[in-house]
Amino acid sequence: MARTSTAPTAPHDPKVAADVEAVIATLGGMVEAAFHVVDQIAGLVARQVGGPGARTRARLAGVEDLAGSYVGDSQHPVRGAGFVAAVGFLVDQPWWLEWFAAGEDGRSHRMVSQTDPDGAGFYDYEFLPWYVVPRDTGHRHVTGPYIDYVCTDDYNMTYTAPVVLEGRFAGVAGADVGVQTAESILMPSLRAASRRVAVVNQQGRVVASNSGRHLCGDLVSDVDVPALWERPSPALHVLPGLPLGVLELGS
Amino acid sequence: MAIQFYGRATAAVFAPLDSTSRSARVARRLTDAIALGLLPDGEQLPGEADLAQQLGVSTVTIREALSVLRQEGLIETRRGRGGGSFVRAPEDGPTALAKRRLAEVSLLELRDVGDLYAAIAGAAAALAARRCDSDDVRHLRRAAAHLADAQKPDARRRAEAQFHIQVTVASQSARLYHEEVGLQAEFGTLLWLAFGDDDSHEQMVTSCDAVVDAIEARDADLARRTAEQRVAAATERLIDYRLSKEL
Repeated sequence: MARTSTAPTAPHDPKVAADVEAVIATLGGMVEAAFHVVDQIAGLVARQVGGPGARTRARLAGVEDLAGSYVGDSQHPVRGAGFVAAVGFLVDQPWWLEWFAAGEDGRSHRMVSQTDPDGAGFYDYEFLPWYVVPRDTGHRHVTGPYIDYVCTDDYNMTYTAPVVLEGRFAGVAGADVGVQTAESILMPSLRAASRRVAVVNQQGRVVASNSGRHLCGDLVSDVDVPALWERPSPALHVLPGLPLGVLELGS
Repeated sequence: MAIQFYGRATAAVFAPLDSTSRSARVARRLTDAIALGLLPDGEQLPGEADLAQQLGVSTVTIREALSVLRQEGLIETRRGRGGGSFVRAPEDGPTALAKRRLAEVSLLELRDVGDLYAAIAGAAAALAARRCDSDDVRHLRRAAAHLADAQKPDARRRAEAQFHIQVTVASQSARLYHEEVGLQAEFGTLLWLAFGDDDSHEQMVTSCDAVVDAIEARDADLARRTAEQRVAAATERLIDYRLSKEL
């Protein structure tokens, strides 16, 4: 798979140094690879569930093969993918996750979660950012790096996009990329950079960097990243419309 | 075989990996799950081959563990079509099971696990104070509010467990998270024997709020101290309970 070839990043800015540009392109490529999976799942769900007839779980049938074709491919960065229905959207399952994740054997497995609100260990996703942000903004979102304690028990980044049918929020299509995978994808361009740079999210949390003081999960403390997001700065290169960017850390 | 002496520091390398046998550990894990109510009465366990694969042990080990559970009356195995192993929660409830477990544990062991738990909880809280963002604080407040609102002992136990999971999530450490989950399964069941009443619940809500306050203030030292004290106080309470009851 071409991880970097289709990277749609910010328009080329001659003031951005080539080594930083390379990190931005690698990040953009990884993000697009994940959203490519998300968009295909969103499209499939829209085709299958849109239109007349009762909206039932059965109409999500094709998601398994589609998600599995990426999740079960060890060369692809996406290790989990699927569709999470808006609460109350499906008539037969008020809460439902049609989700698939790579098992120890590398194959794609259905994730079974408790969708009965009265059951022990109920998976209440209605307040989780990967669900809430696309629902409330109508846009794509990247959640993490975070410890996914309700689902995969792993250190993850989750890429989600809303699925809207006839003006109504139907749920989110999503894909997971583990932070270790993200690190291995981003590291070559980070290592090649001649200055200290970090891939950060909007909160200033580090995804990967070439500085030992800024490891994945740390918050950048010497710069107010959330504030930088509000007003353009030559030190921060934001992926358009996403809470991810490349931050030049200074010497 | 001659036993080489490699010096004190390296001796740990050649120490037995685990003193309890694998089947005993599997039996303990399933017993804890039944005691915690994670495996409710009547629940069918996965087949032997599936269990072996999931837990990463041989089917022989699973068979041994299941036979222990069968002897203790915690599962019932039916043959033939629609057969399998089914959970039989003890008639006197999960609490009785936890009491039996507690009776087998020495005071020294209790203190030892309590010390480890305090170290884990303290480290997680200190890292959370350094690494939390505004979302994390919001989730912690939400979890603390859930705990404060919980009325029944079982709901309180789940809300409290959830709160501590959230602290390790805010610490951004996958290892600390896994340690917390493991300790909750091992130690949480026992701790809850001494908790759940209104008096202890109030204390717990206060101490959890204090942990969130310290995390939000980004005071790592205070967060560590507060979390350590909470676990130390809980362990003490459990030891007092163990001493006061005829188990």
